[in-house]
Amino acid sequence: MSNKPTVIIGGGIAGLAVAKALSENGFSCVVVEKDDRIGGRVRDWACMATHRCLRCFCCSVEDLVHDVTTASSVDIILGSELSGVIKCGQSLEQVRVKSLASGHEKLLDASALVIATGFEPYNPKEKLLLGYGRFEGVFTLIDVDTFLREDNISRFTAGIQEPLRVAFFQCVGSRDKTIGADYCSQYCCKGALRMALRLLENNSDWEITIFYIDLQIAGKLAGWLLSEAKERGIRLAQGVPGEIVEGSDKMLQISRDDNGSNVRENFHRIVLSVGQRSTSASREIASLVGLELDNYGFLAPEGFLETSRTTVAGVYLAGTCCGPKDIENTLMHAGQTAAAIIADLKNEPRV
Amino acid sequence: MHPRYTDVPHAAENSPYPSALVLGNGLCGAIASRALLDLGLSVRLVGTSRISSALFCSAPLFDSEHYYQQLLSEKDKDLEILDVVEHPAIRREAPGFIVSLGKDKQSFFGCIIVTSRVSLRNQENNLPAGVEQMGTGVLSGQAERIVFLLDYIHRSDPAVGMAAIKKAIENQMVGGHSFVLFQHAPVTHIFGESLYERARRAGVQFVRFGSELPSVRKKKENSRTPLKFTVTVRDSIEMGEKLEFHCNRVVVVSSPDGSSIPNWALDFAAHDVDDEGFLLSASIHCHSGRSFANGIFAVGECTGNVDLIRVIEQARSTAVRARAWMRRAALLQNEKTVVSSEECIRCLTCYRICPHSAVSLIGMQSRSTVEACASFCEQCGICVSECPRMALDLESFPEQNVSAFLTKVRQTSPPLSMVLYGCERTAARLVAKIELPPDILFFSFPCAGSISEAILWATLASGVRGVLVLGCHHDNCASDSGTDWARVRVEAILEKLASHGCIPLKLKYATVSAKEPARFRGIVEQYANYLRDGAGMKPAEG
Repeated sequence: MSNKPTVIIGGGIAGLAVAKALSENGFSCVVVEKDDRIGGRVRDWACMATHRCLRCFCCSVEDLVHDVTTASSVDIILGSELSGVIKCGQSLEQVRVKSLASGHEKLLDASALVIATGFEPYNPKEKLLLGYGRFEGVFTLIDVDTFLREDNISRFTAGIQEPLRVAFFQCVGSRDKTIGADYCSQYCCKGALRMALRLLENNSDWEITIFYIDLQIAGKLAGWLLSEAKERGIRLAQGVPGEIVEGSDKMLQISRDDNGSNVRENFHRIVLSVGQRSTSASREIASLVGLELDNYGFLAPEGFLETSRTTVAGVYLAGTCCGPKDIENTLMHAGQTAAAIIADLKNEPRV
Repeated sequence: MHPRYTDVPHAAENSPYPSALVLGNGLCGAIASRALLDLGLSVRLVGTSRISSALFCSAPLFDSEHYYQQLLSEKDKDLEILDVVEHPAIRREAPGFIVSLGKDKQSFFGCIIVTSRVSLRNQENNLPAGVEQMGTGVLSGQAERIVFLLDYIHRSDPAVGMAAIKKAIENQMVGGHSFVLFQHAPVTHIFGESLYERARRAGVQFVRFGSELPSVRKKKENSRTPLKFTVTVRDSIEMGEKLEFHCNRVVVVSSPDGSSIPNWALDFAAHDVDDEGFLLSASIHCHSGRSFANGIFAVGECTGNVDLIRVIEQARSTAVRARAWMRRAALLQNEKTVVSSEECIRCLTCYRICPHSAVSLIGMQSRSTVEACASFCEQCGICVSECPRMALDLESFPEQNVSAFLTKVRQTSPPLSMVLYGCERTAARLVAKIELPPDILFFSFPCAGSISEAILWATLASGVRGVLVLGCHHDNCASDSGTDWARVRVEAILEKLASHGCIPLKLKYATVSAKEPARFRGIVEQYANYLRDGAGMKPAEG
C-alpha cells in the first residue's frame, strides 16, 4: 500500500462499497470484519428474479466481494473488531483492532475511519400475539430469504401438498412507538412485493396477500412491481392484523375489519416483514469513538444533508448503521461516504 | 472482462484530471457541480437558462434558500458557468469527449453529467380550475383552509408528499386548517414517521381513502365565500363515512413525469431510460448516476429523483464514480481493445449495438475504420459476436480461444454430454463452486452476449449432445443487453431447426445470478440428464 489507508469497520455490503469506491479513486483501504468471511448479511439473501431482474440488488454483493478481494489496494482482516482509536489532538492517527479469537491487538495507520457495522433485524418474538417462535407457520422476511438462497423452500412449505395461502404482515417492528422504533425501515414494502412475486414464479397456484399500513412505492421499477403484483393476483389489503391464532389444524387465523364487519381468514404461512434496528456493536463503537446516537440507537451523522460525516473528525458512517436503508440506498450512501473522505483528505491520499 | 483499475500506484495521482461537464444549470446542476468540485475536479456548468428546479425537502427546519445560495460561489476557481443558446454536440475521443460549446469553440471533457428539469405530472385535468399543483414555493403566511390531495389517480411521489405534510403543519401553526387526503402516507427517511406524528399533533387532519377517489367541486364565481372549493371523500378507515371539507385552496400532490424529459437530455442517454421514461436504465449496474453509455452520468430530477436529500447523496456518489471512471479512462487511453480487419464493410452494426457507446468511425467515408475507444470499451465482445463479416476480434479474448476450446471438444472421447457457456461475472463464479462431472465442459466468455450464433452452430457440430447457454437475468447484465443477445441467438437456432422438422432441443438458454448456486446446479443437472438419456436425439418425422 502506498498511502495511509482508510480503515473500514464492517465487511458487509456498505463497507465493501466504500472500499471499492476509494480504491478505484487511488485511495487504499483496510476492511476489518468480525466474521470469518466478508459480504455480511446480503451474502445470505436470495436473488428475487422472476422472468426478469427485480432490482433486489443482492447480486451486487457478489460483484463487490470479487472486486474487493482482487484489488491490491484493499487489505482484509477477518475475525477482528475495532478496539480503539488514537488521535493526535483532533486528528485521527491510528486505529486499534483486536482479533476475536486470540485477543491479539494490532495498530493500523489510518487517514480515515469508516463505521459500516450494519443493522440487526427486529426479532418479533417479543410480540407475543404474533406467535413467532411458537407457531411453526410464522416466519420473518429474513428467514424466508435465507430459505430461498439455500434453494430450500421445503423449510417454508414443510410438506404441505395443497397450494399455500401465504400472508405478509408489513411494518412488524417498524413505525412502532411502543418499542422505540417509530420509523419506516425503508426496504420492506418493495422487499415483500419482490418476495411475493418470486414465490409465485415457482408456485403459481399459491394465494398471496400483503397486509400493509402504507405502501412505500418509489424508485425505479417500483410502480411496475406494484402493478405486476396486482396483475399476478397478489392481494393487497390495508391494515395489518394484530394477532395470529393457531388453529387445531395448524392453520393460522387472523381477524380483520372489512368495511365495518369482522372477517376471519386462514393462512398456511405468515411472513412478518421485520424492521431494521441498530446493533449493540454500533452502540459499543459509539462510546469507543465518541460518536452520538440518535433517538433510535442508530449512529448519528452530522446532519440532515451530511449523512456520511459525523461530529468526530476523520470518522465516517456508511450503510444501515446510521439508519435503515435498502441495498440500493446503501450503495448510494457508501458512494457519498467515499466522496466525503476523498474531499476531506483534500483529494490526495495521505502518505 | 474489464481491467482492474484499483491497482494504480500513487504516482498516477500527480496528473490532473480533465474537467467535468455538467449539463443543466438548475439546482440539480449546482448540486452535481458542488459534488464534483469537492472532489478536486474542475467543472464547466452549462445551461440555456437558470430555471429553478423542483426538488422537495422534507427535512424539518431546513432553509432551502440559504442552502442553494451557498452551493456555488465566485470563490470556486475551478468552476466556470456558461450560458449557451443551444445544447452542445459531443464526440467521443479517448479518454473523454470533445464538446462543441457555441461557435467554433471546442473543449475536452473527461465526463459528462446530465441534469435536466422534469415537470410534475399534471393531474388537474379532471379537476376544476384553480386547483393548484404542489410546488416548492412558500405559503402565504396567512391562515388558510387547505386540502392537500395525494394519490389522486397517480401515486404521489413520497418526497413531494412529505413536503406537502410539512406545509400542512406550517399552515396549522399560523392558525389555519390543513387536511391531507391520501391512500398511502409517505414516511421516507428516518424522520418520516415522526413528521407524520408531528402533523397529527399540530392538528392536521388525515383522511385515508380507498379505491373511490375524492371529488372536488368549485362554487360559482359570484359566490361570496372565500371557501370556494368543496372536497368530498370517503374515509376508508371509518367504514366509508363520507366527509366534506370546505376550503379556499386545493393542492394536488403529484409525482415527476418521465415523459417531460427534454429531447436534448434523452439524446445523451438514448438507450438508457427506465420503464417510466426517466434517465438511467433500471438495471442495478446504473445505480449512483452511472449510465451504460460510459462516461455519461445523470443526476437529479431527470432520473426521477426529486428528493433533495437523495439528490445530494446521488450527486456525491455519482461524482465519486465519475472521478474513478476518468482515472480508468486515462489509464486505458492508449490501449487497443478491439481490432478490426480488412473484412470490415463499415456497416456500423458494432457502432449501433455497443451498449457502452464505445465504437466510433474514424476517417472519411470509404477509407474510414471502425475503432473501439479503449477508454469506453468494457470488452464485452458483443460487437465481435454480431459483426456480419466477423471482422472484429477482442484483444483480451481472441477468437483463437474459442477455436482452441472447440478443437478440444471435438477431440474428447467419448463425446461430451454437454458444453456449458456463460459469462465471467456469473456462470464462471457459479461453476467455481461446484464440481462438474467429466462429461460436461464449461467455457467462460466475457459476456453471454459475446457468444455468437456461429460459435453456437460450431459447438453443435463438434459432437456434443447439447449446449447450455447461461446468461444473467434480463436487465441484470453488466453490458445491458448481452444476456438478451444470447437468448435471441439461441431462439433463432431453435427456430431454424424446428422449421426443418426436427426438434432435438440440443440447445438451451437459461438465466441465473451468482446468488443462485443451488438453482444453477439444478438447471445443469436436469439438462445434462435429459441429454444423457438421449432425449436430444429424436430423429425427424417421415
